[in-house]
Amino acid sequence: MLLSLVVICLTAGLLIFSQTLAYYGDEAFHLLASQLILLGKTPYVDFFYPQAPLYAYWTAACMRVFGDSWRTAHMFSALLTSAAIALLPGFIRAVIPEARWRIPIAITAVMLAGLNLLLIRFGTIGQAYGLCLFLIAAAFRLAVKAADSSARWLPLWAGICAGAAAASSLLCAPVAPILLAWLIRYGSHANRLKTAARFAGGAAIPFLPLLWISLGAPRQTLFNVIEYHLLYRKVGYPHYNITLADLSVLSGWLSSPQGLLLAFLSGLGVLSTAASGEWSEAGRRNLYLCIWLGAGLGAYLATPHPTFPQYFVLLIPFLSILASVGVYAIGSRICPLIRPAQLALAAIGLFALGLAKSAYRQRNELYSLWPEIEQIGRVVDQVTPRNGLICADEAIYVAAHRAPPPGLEHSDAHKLRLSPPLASLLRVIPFAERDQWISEGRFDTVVMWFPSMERVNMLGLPRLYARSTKVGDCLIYSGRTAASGRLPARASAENSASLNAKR
Amino acid sequence: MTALLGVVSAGLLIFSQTAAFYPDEGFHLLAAQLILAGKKPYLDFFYPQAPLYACFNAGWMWLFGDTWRAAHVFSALMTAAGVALAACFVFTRMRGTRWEFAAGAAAGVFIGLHLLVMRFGTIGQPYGLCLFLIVGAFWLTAESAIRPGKLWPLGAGFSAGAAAGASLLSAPAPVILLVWTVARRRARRLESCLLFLGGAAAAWLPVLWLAAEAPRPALFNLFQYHLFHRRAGYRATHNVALSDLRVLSGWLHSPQSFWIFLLAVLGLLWVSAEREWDEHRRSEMYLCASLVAGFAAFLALTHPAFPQYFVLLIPFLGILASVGVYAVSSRLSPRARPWTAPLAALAVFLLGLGKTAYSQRDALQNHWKEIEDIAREIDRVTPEDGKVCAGEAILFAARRLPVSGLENSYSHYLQLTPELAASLHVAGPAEVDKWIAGGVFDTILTWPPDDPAPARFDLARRYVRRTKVHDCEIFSGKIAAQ
Repeated sequence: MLLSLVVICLTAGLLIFSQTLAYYGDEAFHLLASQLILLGKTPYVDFFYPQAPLYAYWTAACMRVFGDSWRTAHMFSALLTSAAIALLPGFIRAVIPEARWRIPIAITAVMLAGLNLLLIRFGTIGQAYGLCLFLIAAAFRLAVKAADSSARWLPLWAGICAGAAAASSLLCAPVAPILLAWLIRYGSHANRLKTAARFAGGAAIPFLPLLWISLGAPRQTLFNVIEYHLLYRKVGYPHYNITLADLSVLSGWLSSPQGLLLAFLSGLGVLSTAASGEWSEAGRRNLYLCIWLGAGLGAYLATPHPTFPQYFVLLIPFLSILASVGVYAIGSRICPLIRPAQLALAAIGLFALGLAKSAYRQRNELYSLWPEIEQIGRVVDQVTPRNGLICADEAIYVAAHRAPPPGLEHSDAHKLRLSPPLASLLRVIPFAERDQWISEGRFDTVVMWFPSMERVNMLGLPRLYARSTKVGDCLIYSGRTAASGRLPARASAENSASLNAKR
Repeated sequence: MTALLGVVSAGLLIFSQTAAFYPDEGFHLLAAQLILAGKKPYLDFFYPQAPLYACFNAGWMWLFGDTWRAAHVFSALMTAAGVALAACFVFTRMRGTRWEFAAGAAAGVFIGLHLLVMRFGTIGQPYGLCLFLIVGAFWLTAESAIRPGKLWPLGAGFSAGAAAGASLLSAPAPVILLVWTVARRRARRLESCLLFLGGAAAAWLPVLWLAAEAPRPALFNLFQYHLFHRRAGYRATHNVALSDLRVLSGWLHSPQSFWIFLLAVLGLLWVSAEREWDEHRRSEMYLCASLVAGFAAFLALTHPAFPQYFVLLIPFLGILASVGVYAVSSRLSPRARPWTAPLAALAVFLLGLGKTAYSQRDALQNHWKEIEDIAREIDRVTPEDGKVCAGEAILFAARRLPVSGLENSYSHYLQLTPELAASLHVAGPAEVDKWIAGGVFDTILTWPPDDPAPARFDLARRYVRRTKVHDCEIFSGKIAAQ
């Protein structure tokens, strides 16, 4: 009862956060990709999307039912993150040997996950983290069950979840191989190979859409899913010491009170798992899986160059489990006199103090720009003709429910330096070409966010457009003058027309 | 362990001569130089601090020269001695277990390689001396509870009193140690307490002597300033309470502090539940915890508080943290090698040192070389008995005694009645301006580069020479007409 109440409260908190403060600049291109899928476009084939595609399809499906706004995406991310948290107590209750510790430790695990600022910030936005958290937590639970069970569907579903996580974000790629290796090592002996085969089969299923796309457009798929991440992640940082920034990210947990507390308690959990004789054989084996996942994911997430703090949100379910086991180790072996509830409250209290301190430090980032973007989107929609073309950032296309002209679906793509045939195949437009389109007056509306007047004049916007409207930090140029060029490519107009028709 | 403590001590000494610097150390060093010149704190110059550190430092400078290097060596040696005492204390308490070396070494590293200790225990301020004295007082107090001699409580009282006499930030130490002595001693409790108090009073004799000679200035410098005038000089818009809150919660974002706090809590939990140790040994750990809590509460009340004040907690947190390491090793992995868990704990701690040092790299710069360059130029351009208007560190480095009233730049912010200001040797900004305008000084140093003083007082026309050294401008060669 208490545990359910805690999970419900956390879910409510995450939902409220997702609708009020949750925002991250990069979520816009994911949301735009979903909107484009709703229009019938295919990632890689029709637009540049250097991500695994499943999250965009999932969000598109949600948007079809609940409306194509950022609120829908945030709501589902928050619900999936909450579902991932709700999957933890069942595991804890099965693994903790002493009955009086089970509920307090389960609540500790839930709170250590749910009050983690990284999870609160990135598990509630329009990016793949929420979905991935749910899928990897589900895959973990199902794999644990599959190791002891002869039920055929368990390894299959574990594989489906692990595969779906990797197909939603490549950051989850190590989960499936780790689970597979663990099932082979620890699965019940008689069915070990069959279980592994079912798991592998299940993991392949979520990749079918990707396979289908890659059959039609192998080069584009290869570039978006693999080549971009191996060779082009560093574009856009020409004067930036990425190695130093990576080191700063990788050592970030040291100066984060929540990160350090989680590491400390997890360390105790690992020690206790490895050295203490109080665990059942199954309990220790399952905790080893947690350690494997934490270590494997941690090592893998350290390799992207550049890496970012939010990637490590995927470790939180496993670290929370290990940390709560660490709390149990303190209570059972170091200080047996303490009451379980007291120790759990102390750990949660300290963690909450860390949340408050980190939230205060990051207060300038805990601010949603979506209300402002929506306001800009409304004005853009108002001043642009029905099938007119807009040059803007992805978030404004999403808010205005307007499709971008081909090549403008992903602003990072402008930084890529590719051969013209490859750029054309991938629908990538360099910055210079986009600027040329602007100065030729091809767009009906041009939105400049944080503009410098020097750049505005260089592009000739005051000459090309009759109206300029200021909304927040945005300048919106609309109403093309006679000095403007001719109408742009037909495909762009078709994009806009079809979206408007759908609306 | 001796080798490890040697390495830590060598590290502290090297740090003290290379990277250690804090702007506020200037007035402490100048006070020591003034004492060396025969002046008395409170009576002859404004010094809102307990005087023992300046007196000790003056004695040291008399032996080894009045330079910042000598003062830094003194502080580093005192800190190293404090670290060694704490490590040996842990070592003796763990004797007989497999973890005696590991736990003792952990305590030495937790304390000696904590960046706050490295930065502030090696400069010309009382932290180094206080660290040594409070750890010494702690150990002597712990011993006095089980040993019969009279010297133990006397020594404990003297050390604790001397710590408070070196810096008022150490004031909780004698109180907490006395309360513990009262609570712990079974036999001859009154005698022990009296000996403790006698030792503390002996350490305060120089202070009492100064107070007897000039009660009003002593009262102001020791108490009144700290109770009512600490916020003088802060702009009205500066929210001192908010910056205090930031300082008080700063340990959460300090990897080293948070790490040893977590281990210390673990150590304390283990001590409270475990019956492996006898009651006395456990009560020593409770004394450690009481010192942490007492110091934290007292230092949190200083308004404004600064992070370096909390350096005094670290020896006791370090001792408890090493007990925490022992608890983890002996309870969670008893069959593992005794160094496994301590090495893991120390690795995280040292990673924290790297992370913190990198984030504070701008503050880890020794400006004494620049100060010495400026001082050399001042000394060159100023007549033998000439008067210099400059900051305390530059006056100290140039070995020039300041004009009465310029010994402590913070005193200029005080708003006092003229009579009180005169008795305290405090000069207000208007008075200093009048001195500059009246041509009292043979040499005037202006800093920073946008200092309005040169234009305001037309210094370029009133002084023959204008020299630029680093970011400072030095006006010298007073024109005779003035």
